[in-house]
Amino acid sequence: MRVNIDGREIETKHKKTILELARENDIYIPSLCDFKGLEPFSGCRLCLVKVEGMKGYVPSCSVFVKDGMKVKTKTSDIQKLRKNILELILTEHPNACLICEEKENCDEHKATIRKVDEVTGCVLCPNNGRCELQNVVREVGLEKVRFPSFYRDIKVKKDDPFFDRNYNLCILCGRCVRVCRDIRGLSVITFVKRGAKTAVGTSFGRSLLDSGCQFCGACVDVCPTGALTEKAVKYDSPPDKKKDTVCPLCSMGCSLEFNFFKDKFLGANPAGSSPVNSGQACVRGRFALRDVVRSENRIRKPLIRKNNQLEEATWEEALDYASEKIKKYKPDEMAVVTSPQLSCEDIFVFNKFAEKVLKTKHINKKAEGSPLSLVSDACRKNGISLPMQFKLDDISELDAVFLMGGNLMESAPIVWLSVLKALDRGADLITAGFLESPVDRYASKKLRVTPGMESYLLAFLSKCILDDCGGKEFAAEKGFDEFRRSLDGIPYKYLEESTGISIEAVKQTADILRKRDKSGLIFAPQVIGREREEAAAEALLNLAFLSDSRIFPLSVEGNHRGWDAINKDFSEKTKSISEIWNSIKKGQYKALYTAAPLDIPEDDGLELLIVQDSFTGDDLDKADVVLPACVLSETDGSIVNTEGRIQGLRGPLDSLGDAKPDWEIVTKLAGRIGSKDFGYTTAGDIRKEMARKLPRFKDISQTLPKRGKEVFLKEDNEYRKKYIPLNPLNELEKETPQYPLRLVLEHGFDYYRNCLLSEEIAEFDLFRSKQWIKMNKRDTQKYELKEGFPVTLKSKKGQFKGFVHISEYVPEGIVTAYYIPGRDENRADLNLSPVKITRGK
Amino acid sequence: MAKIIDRKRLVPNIHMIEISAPDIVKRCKPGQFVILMPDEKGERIPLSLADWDEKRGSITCVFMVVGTSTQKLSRLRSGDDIPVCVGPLGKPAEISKFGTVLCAAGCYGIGAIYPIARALKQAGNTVMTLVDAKANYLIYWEDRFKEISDKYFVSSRDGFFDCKDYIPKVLKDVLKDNKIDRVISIGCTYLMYTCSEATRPLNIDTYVHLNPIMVDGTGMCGACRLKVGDSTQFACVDGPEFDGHLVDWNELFYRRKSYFNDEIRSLCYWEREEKPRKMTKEKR
Ligand code: SF4
Ligand code: SF4
Ligand code: SF4
Ligand code: FES
Ligand code: FES
Repeated sequence: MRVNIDGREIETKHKKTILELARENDIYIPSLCDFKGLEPFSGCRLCLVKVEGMKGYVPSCSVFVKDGMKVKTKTSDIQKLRKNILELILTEHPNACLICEEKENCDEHKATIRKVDEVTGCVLCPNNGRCELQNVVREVGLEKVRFPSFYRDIKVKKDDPFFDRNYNLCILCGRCVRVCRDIRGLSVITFVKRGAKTAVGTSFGRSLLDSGCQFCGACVDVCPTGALTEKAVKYDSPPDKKKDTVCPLCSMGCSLEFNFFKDKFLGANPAGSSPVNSGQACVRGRFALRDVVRSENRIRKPLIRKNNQLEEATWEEALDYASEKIKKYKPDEMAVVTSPQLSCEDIFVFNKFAEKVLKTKHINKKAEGSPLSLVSDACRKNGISLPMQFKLDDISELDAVFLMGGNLMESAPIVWLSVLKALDRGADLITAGFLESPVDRYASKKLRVTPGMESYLLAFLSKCILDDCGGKEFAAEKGFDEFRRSLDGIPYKYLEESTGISIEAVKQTADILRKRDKSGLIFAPQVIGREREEAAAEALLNLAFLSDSRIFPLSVEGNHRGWDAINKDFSEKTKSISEIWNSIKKGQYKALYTAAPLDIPEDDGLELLIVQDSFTGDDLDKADVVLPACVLSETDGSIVNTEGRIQGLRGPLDSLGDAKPDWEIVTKLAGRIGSKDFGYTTAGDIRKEMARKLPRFKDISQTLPKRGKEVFLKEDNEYRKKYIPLNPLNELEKETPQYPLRLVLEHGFDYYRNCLLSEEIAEFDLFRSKQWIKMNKRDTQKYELKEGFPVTLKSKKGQFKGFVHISEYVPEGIVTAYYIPGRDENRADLNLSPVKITRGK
Repeated sequence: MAKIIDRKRLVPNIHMIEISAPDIVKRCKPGQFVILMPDEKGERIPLSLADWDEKRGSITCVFMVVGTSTQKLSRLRSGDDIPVCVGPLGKPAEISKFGTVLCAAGCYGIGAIYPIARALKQAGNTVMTLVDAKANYLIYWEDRFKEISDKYFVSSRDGFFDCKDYIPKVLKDVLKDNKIDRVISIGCTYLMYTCSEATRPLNIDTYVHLNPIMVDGTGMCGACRLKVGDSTQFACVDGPEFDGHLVDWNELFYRRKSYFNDEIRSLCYWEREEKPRKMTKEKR
């Protein structure tokens, strides 16, 4: 295509708008409502241009270029028109500073009054200096506004967490509305009518907290004005430096930019050009990470227990102390706990340390409630091999999505965005879980399964598929007969009763999965107890084979995939953190070295507890030595995201206090115990060795991959099926009048090592609290409870406390609470059992 | 303890607060100030007196919300108590018959200059008032000023009134057309500075009411120190009225920024920790 813009001939291949083409060629057309990645809106009319042969002026942001098109962007008519339009926009926007000659002096001398309540001019505005409206005014050359200005006088909304909303500054560009609806799938913010006028806001003017906002920050990032501003940085200067990194807070590993002003760390923004998150993130990376990495609770110095008190020590002292103690124990008396929130390098060195130096087999390698661990274990156990890595695009290209497990918006928000893309293309969504969730509104089928009976639901689906097609086509496949027999043994009626789902619904779902070209089974984290989780993973594999669907087992923590891959290359023996915890509880170990948050049980019988963490936590109370570790953002490590993509952290921050990267601490310890110094001086040295020794890490190199460079874990490409017969489940204990509710634990994701996001960040606690006990409104009425009441949950096996949180997503008869493996093992015992709820602290 | 009789927002960011202070009201003179504390933990805030009413036993101040303590102040309601309200402090403004006096004010200074303008009028001066704001909707007390002024000028950047220029320019025009004997200016430091600079070449006496950071307000801490001519002065006891042509403006600008980062930290802490924790607690 050849297009002529302002006399310049421009060649282009792809379909794009005039505005896009102009931008690519450095031809400036003012625009305010257009935003990359959002549907054109044509709201602001600033981008008007003249196209030969078309009547009047056309918005360049929504007209696509055609071969031979002749465009004029700068005639005096257009310039005049733009000025008029801009003037009109500015009548409802504080415009004094925009056209005031004193602006520069004012900026200099009035800096201290930036802390005002309401913005009545740029000098008082958090957006000053980074504002698109300011740029447009400058570019258009507007010098005066001929109309008197009008103040909308809408109360500034400051009571929600993380960002303020000042609709007196809003220019109604609709970017926030579009990003929330089209990209995030939420529509928290929409166009609403205020009297006779259009405005932007939540329905009924409710707070964001009450409107289902996920605080992803997407709206803040697209807002061209100061209408939406992040509280934490609103008084800071715009950043003068940005550094690329990856978010360590969940398994997506979103590409982030860390912002700095004069070397002060301001916070993080999602990076626009990332293949993982293309400009999006979630509340954790966007808002929480800043406070986490610079928390007041960071451990800055090594500590040694003396006279029953932890005292500051030098690294030499602490390492000498720890190594001398370690030497006293036999391999079997020692356990090591690592965490999927460490970098690959850390995990590699930890494994090597456990195997070669301590020679202990007691190291955790299995993760609770992790679909990835469960499915990969089931595969290994049964000799199955199938691709378990994927790209997010594989999800957006699905025609049918079967989503099993918890709330995807919470567990894997970026995966959810890919699902949304698939839905946009017309895919069907089926959700299966015991909770409702905000994604349900997109579901063509919702299967509300009885908690714990997930594997039966999957078997139910398999059975329907088989009965429908007769099953001949599968007859020759491995394990099929036995599998079929196990299904034949269970009558439909029983399946209907135990899962709580009607055969019609299951049949329809089975139909969708089988008939759609590309169907996918997304397995999101949920906690239903080891045995049931394993059964569900196996049943999911069967269903995948029968329906020819692809499996997407999600991982949980930041480096879950990397952790899993490295662990498995060391030894096949696997223990979970809960198992180690139980052994500690039974007094089986004398020494424990933990780099993961662990709720050390009473009467542990431990003689030596070494805690290596970045944050102070309860486990410090019993620690003999505390070794301060860097947070990942301070290291040069790599982590593997849920897709299997290896990404570099590239340490944008300096380490705090005396903290050191985990691998370095372990290496130093190893050097002191025997002569087993691993000889690493940089994380790159470790990567070199990993690339040589671990087949799956063949493609990593000493220097870390840059953003956008695709380096994935190696996967074995074989496809080996085997059906696994259905494992009958134990019956769940029934509710009784004394214990009338059922507790179901939800996987908690809001933590990083010993730092609980809701404890660390007061605003986070408002949004999502670890202390919540979620229940249905009708149940709260029944038990005379109200939002925020302190309560105790009791089962026959134990009890714990929390605060009532009313949730429309929890069905009647169920209460839920968060569970973090290792941290909340006392809760695990109560999972799925009948409980009673009582008021009081 | 002092009781809040009324608190209302006059225009965006600017609030008026009326406090029951029967002891203070008897001694109030134009140009003086009081110090308030919004709560036991907040800072001490110096506020110019904008009015007082002996019959009601109350004083009135106009303040701008520009930090944690003024935020807190702006949330008080009628009937609330504040732990500290001391005054009147500082020297009164010089009031006598000067001839024609021009009062130039902006922002909170519109309120602060009012009792001075009123007293000048009562003392037999011709009083002209020049009020400045970014936009028309930021102008308040227009009727009060019209009542006591022989001439009233107003300028706002949005061109709502006849004039839209920034204050020194308007000031110059007024000075050209009228014979002025004295100028008094109250508002943000930058406004007072530019007004002083505008009158300097014309040699017209210009007095400003300065607003440095203050702590005790009784001449003890030194926080409010300024350089005026060759001498060091304490704004709280030697001022707040000073000769605008003698003030060392650069130093004042500089000193006003001393705690900027801490002020921001405090505000962020309040907005992001204290407030949400309070909200959580209220629910539990
Ligand atoms: S949003 Fe932009 S134009 Fe409007 S007041 Fe803020 S900085 Fe100025
Ligand atoms: S933060 Fe995210 S969910 Fe909330 S309103 Fe903005 S875009 Fe929507
Ligand atoms: S709040 Fe911001 S993004 Fe949303 S419509 Fe207004 S100006 Fe546009
Ligand atoms: S950018 Fe085209 S109409 Fe707003
Ligand atoms: S405020 Fe302390 S000396 Fe003036």
